[in-house]
Amino acid sequence: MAQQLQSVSIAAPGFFGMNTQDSPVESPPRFASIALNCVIDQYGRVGARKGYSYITTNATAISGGNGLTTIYEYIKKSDGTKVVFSTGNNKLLTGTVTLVDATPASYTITAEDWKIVELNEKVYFFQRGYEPCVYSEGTGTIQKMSAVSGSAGTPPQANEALGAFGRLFVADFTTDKHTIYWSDLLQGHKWTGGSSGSIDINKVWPRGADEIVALAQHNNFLVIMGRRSTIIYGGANDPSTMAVTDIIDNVGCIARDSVQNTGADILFLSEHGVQSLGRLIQEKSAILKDISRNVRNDITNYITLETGIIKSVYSTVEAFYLVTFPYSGITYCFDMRGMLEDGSARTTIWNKIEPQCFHVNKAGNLYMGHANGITLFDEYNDGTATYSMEYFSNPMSFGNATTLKFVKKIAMTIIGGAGAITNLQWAYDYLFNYRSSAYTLSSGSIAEYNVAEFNVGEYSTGVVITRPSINASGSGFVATIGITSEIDGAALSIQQIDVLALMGRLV
Amino acid sequence: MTLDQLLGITNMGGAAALSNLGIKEARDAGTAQQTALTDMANKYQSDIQFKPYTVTGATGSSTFAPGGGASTLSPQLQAMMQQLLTSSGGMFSGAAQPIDQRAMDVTAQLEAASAPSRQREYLSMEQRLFNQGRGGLQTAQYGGAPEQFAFAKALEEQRAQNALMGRTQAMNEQTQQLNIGQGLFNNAFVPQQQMNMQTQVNTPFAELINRAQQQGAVTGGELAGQGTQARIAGETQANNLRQVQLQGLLDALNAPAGGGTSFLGSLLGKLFGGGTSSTPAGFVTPTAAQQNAALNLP
Repeated sequence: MAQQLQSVSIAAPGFFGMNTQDSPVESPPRFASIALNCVIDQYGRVGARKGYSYITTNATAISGGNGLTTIYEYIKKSDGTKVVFSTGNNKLLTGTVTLVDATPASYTITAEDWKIVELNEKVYFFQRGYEPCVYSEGTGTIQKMSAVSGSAGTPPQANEALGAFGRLFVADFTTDKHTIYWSDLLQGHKWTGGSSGSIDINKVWPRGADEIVALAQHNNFLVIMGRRSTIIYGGANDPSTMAVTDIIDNVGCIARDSVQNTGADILFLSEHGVQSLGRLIQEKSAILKDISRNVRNDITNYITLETGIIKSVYSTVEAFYLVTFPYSGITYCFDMRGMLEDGSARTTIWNKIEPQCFHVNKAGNLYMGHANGITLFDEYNDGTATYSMEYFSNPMSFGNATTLKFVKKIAMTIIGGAGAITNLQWAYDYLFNYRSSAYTLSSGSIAEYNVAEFNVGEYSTGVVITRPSINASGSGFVATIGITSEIDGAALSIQQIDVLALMGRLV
Repeated sequence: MTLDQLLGITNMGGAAALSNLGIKEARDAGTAQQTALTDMANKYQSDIQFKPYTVTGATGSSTFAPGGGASTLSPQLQAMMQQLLTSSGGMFSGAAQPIDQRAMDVTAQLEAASAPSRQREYLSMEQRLFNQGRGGLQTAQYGGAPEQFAFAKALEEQRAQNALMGRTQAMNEQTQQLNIGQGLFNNAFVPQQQMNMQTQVNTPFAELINRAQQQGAVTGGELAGQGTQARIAGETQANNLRQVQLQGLLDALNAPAGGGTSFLGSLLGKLFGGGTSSTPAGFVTPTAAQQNAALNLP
């Protein structure tokens, strides 16, 4: 006797992002097991991420190198013009379209781990083991710090620098990992006299020994991040009187460039994943808010594997926090529009984009560093290449894990992706031997006003909506549904997935 | 030899003898006068000589002799005076010492007195800084933390104050030693002063006695001198009278008696015959200078 089809509708599938931590069967369908090259768009849908396009057209200065490793945009106070600095190929560079070598004369660079900060009409370039360099708006050139007029003291060859509270704070030296130095007020090139100073926090670490990785300013606090602990100083606007207000044990930062200030929070990468410090400050004794809780094991694996320089960025326009692992070629994207109930962020993962560095300029544009210069995060291609967007649900039991299911039909509502070849895939019982059905999304014809084809005008909303529907096959106790689509210049979002399954016998 | 010659000789000899007698008497009178005055001087010299005397009282005794005076305190006061002098010497010695060492000693004592509380405050500050995570703070403005700077400043101020207090104390002690020494020194001579007062009180009585003796001697000497002068005058008068007497006698002998020959001439003529006016041979009449020399006259 024929049985009734069981219908499962997943509206805004993957809205909660990836979840590889919870039991797949019990996981809500709004979590995805894979959301590759996806973002959560403004409508709460899983959509394809943007790609990048090159701004730089003349990268002769970094020819033969490994691309750009740092980007920083400085807006001149005098006339508002922009100067974009970058580093790469063992050079300090300026320019966007054409990269110009601005390295000071007789200054040899053999490492690429610069930290660029700004203070009082000067831009400072720090790297461990190197004398800092300074761009002065007055001279318009990059000089070694010792050559800057008015410089005093020994230029600190620090790896971490922070421009905050009207002065520069630096730390993480070759042999000294526990002392923070600060410059004279508003003079980042004066490291002796005035109100300059230092503090050795070797005896402040809660576990007795740690090393400074990063510095941050938040909520009028100076946040000192060790590798395994975090110390928060209050009153740092006068460093001579600043005092510890909180010490967080077992939560530190493992990557200097993973620290991003969102305004409300400080996000950083710890050994446990991405953490939110702002919440720690607010809640003081509350449990740590683990932003990457839903992908914890995955991200910690990438952390363990990583040998390169981890970079990150926070974009207010895109409302995400990106952290990239160059060794694995993986970038995690954490949606910052809103947090889930457990305090984690909706997470997706990117590949192939492989940015070497990030920078959000004053206009909100996301710059990335690639092999041939500065790129802009805007188009739906990685340079000229396409990339694959993948979404897979968690295994679904349709409410009854003990009953055999026969997936009969899969229907989707896809926004955009004009002309993209899309594979609808399904598999049973936690296996990855997906069966697939290819479907070419409608290329649509977006009407151009006052243009008619064969005297017939076509009008549309401007958004291509495709509703592919395929007949599925096979059976199993749980089913995984997915979609892969090659992104080539067009955005794509999954609005809805409907699955019709036939319930079979009990186990 | 004629009688005249003989008379001449006798006349001249009589005059010479008379003259010698006058000289001798005058010389004897002077000698007697000198002897009398010498005796008188000897007599009154002993009379007017200072008579030693001694004043004795509770503080001791003072003896005044022609060779000088001497005071002797009583043994108790002498011992007390010695003790006071010794003590004052010690005080003066102390006051004369440089105060640097004493100032340092006092300062060290003040430092030692404040060290415990200072240590407690330092530990408290160190604990506070450590709790605030500021133990390793180094600033160009303050060296360390502002609290450490303030502590060090307060410490140095206290040290400076202690040093000043030490020096002031040492100076006060020096002044005190000087004052005590002066007091002791002054008091050491109080017995002597008391004895001097005692001597001064008793001295007028001895002076009166001496003065009476001296006055008596002076009066006696003056009376004796006047007596001697009177005697000298009498002797001189007698001598002059005798000279006159002898000259008269001599003139009488030489005066001519009836034939133009003096009595002596006649006498001698009778004895020796001859003239009277010729000078015997070999006889030389002495010159006036020789006569004066013989009479010891100028």
